[in-house]
Amino acid sequence: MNAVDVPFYRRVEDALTKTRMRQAVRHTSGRAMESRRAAIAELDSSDAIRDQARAIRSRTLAALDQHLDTFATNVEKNGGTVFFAETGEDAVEYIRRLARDRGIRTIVKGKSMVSEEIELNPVLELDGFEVVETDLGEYIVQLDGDKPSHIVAPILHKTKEDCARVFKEKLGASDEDVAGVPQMTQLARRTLRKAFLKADMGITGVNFGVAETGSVTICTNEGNGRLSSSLPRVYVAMMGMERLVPTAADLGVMLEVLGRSGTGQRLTVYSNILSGPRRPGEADGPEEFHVVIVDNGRSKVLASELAEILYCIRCGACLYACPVYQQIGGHAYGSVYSGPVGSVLSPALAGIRAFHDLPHASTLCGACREVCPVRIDIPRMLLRLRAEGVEAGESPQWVSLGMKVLGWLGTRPRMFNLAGRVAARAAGLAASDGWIRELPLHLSGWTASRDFPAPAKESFQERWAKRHGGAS
Amino acid sequence: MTPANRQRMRDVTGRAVRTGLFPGGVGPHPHDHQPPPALAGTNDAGVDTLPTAAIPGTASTAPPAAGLPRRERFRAALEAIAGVVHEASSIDQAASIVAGLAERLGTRAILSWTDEAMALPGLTAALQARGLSIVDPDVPQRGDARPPRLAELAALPLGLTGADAGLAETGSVVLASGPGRSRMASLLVPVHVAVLRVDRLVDSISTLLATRGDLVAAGSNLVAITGPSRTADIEHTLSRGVHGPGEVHVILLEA
Amino acid sequence: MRPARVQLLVTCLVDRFFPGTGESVVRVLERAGVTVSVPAGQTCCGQPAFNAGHDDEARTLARYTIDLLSASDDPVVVPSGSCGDMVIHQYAALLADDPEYGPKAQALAARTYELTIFLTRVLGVTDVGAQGTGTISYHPCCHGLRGLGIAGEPKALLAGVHGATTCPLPEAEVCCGFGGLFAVKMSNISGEMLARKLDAIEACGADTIAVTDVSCGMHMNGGLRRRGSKVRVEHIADVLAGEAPGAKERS
Repeated sequence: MNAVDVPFYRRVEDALTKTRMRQAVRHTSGRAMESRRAAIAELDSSDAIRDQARAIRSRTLAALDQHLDTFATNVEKNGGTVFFAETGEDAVEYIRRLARDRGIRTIVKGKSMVSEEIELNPVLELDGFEVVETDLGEYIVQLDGDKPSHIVAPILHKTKEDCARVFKEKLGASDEDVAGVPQMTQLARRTLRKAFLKADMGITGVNFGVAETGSVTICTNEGNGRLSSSLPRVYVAMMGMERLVPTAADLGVMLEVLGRSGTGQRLTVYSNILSGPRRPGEADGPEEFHVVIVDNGRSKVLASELAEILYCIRCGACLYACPVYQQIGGHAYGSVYSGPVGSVLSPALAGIRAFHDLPHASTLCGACREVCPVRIDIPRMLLRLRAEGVEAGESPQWVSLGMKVLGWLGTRPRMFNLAGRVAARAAGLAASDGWIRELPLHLSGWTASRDFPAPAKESFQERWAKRHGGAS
Repeated sequence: MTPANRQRMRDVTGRAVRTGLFPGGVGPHPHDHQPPPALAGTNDAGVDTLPTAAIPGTASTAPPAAGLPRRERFRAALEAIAGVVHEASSIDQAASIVAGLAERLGTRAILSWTDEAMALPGLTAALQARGLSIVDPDVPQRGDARPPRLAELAALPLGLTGADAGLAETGSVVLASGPGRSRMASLLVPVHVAVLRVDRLVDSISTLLATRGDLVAAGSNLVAITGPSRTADIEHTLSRGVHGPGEVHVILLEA
Repeated sequence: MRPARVQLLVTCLVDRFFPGTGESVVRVLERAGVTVSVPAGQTCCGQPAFNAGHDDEARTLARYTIDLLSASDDPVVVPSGSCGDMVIHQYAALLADDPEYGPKAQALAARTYELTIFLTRVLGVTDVGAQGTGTISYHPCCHGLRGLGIAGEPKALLAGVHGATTCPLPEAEVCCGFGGLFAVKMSNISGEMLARKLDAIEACGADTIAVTDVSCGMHMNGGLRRRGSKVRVEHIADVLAGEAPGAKERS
């Protein structure tokens, strides 16, 4: 997974200037949070079901080797083919070769974060295949040469005027075609239908694989997942290796929380469980059924203290909840996976050096952990990644120096107090009315938007010692 | 999988899970504002005077319409998402409803599952008696004839299916694939009508998958359809009838 | 059993920046019938190092603080949600592999309480004899809210302030944007989050916003001052100890 070349602070500066984008993100996040809050509250003892969902993820991953093995066996029993892709390139190669060998011309794609992670589309397009994203948001992203900014709502950052412009520029749509959201939706339906009807290969992501039945589950609202997996003669499911549950009953629990947490719906419109190619006597369905199980760094995460991030079911709730994401939007993170989950997953998959800023783009407020349907402790892992960053030498010099000083002074209370008195004296010179308007050097960021209080001349402990003598 | 590929998957994954950390408990952090446990012997009166209503998360919210019979919950759930619910007490009455819908749509040709697939003997005959014709869903698997033939089917205004189960909590109909069970009838057409026998209603997706695992294995495809196709991708504004049917009707059939 | 004595972990920010708040904490606890001792030689709980990923320094400070607070078995009261979370949860995690300090950290955690939790849950009081005027609202600092589960406790205490009324704060649970070093390292994002919080504060109609942490408080007050606002953020101890909220001298 490649990090964007522009440094994080510049992407953030850029994002903060995009007022319309920020308004769109704030507005939509607010509405999404409202609807998911109501939906989650409906679940009788929603805490218990989230605990259950977490337990399923925990025990599945703890024995993932066995469950993947069972899964592969059962997919093959159903007449499907499985390929374990250790790297993104392996997965891309497999699909390219398959498409070439089967004489594929048009590929329709349902939403797949994994396919974006491994950058599949550009390779297939260069090979000469027609590749059409069919999720409405992803379609608009594709038309505009843009990138998605939220894992569930890809065009969270675009207003409807932005979308109208894209349709007019790229499809030659008329003003009537883009008059409003219903019109734009119908335009997309008409245009994409042509692709669905002629496509010979369909590629989708997987919400959950089910080991006991050899199935893959796709949840969509639009129907593009169903169409992509029913009409073309070759179907490929791209599954992150961790996206598995052991049994159909486990799947039922996950489906109870996925829709509610992700989009505020009790269930997405289509919850589709696919178990292999069409069977004898079936009127439709793909002739070929391939599951590409993608590793691409996940096994490394699985082996580490950060394995908990792999519990993620990609509902997107943590993005909506995050007050930082709400300010800067998804693109600023410079990764396919943005927001709180992305701040852990991106450096976990690609290495801390590639994404060393992301774990610091957080106040550790814990809103993400609070909304997560599987209770992932994201703040714990952000802290772990910050520590890894320090070990890798990514801590800025002034911070490292400051921390060394703190560590040294912190066990020498008289020195600590003396340092405080010195700082108070210096600050007293710079302060007016007890407040400082401008801090120097690396601390100047504070005073860009707020005053800084001058330290007190006498500390609490100094006063206490005076009052109570030597005794405490 | 080639044996080498499968072995590689086993090795890589097996090695990883030996050292990974997989916390299953909730961890040290209280969630959803659970108050910390009071000390033993604490002044209970003091604790009780806390205005518990002020502590968010302690009020429990029951699922809507809980306690009502499944068919009523089903109706409420499906109508809340713009689905339409009809009631029929016989196969013949169901046929009337379908014919009425077809007439409203100005069509005589519809896509449909077979009687056998729907377990509704005589339904096709009843539909034909009302002037409807069932289009053959057969489509060439490949070649240039395929897209136009698919387009012909897609142009049909109405698709009729049975339902293997219904989910009361969400207003969903559950359809397995199989012989005589065209997927196109619930997917390509703009209006989908499903005949659901009332005795096939269960509570929710989790009860279905916990008790009817056989449905998953029944065909190559099992789908729970919950109302009309929709999207909110553009400014979180709801729009219906994106790729799947924009109108969903369920005929609740008294067994 | 109601403890008769507690140790105060004053916290470095209260100690050096807001000593008056420390005195308010003592006053409130004494009014509630508890004797307060202040173990000498307190420095910093280590949270800044921990949050910056400098675990070694964090452990050094953790061990030092544990020793300081373990000379006595008295319960520890901390007037801060974030320092409280550090001692109650993070120390044990940081020192999990330390055979000597791991158990000590857990033992300390079991008898450490944030101030509002101590007053309401341990002592069982919501009325600490506070007098006030005007309207008070409450902003739940994140570490206390989600780390320690502090929810209705401060509100119950504020409802007990004689002479003052309370009002809700819109978007109360959205982070103010302080986040420690984040406020300086990611100061542009922090500034935007601050603006959002201050807009809500100025719109809610309160004269005083009570908080459990002076760290978040100084970030918000710094911004309110910049705006020329009359609203002030006060540590809840100051509100509960003072005669009139909003009139707090700092040194």
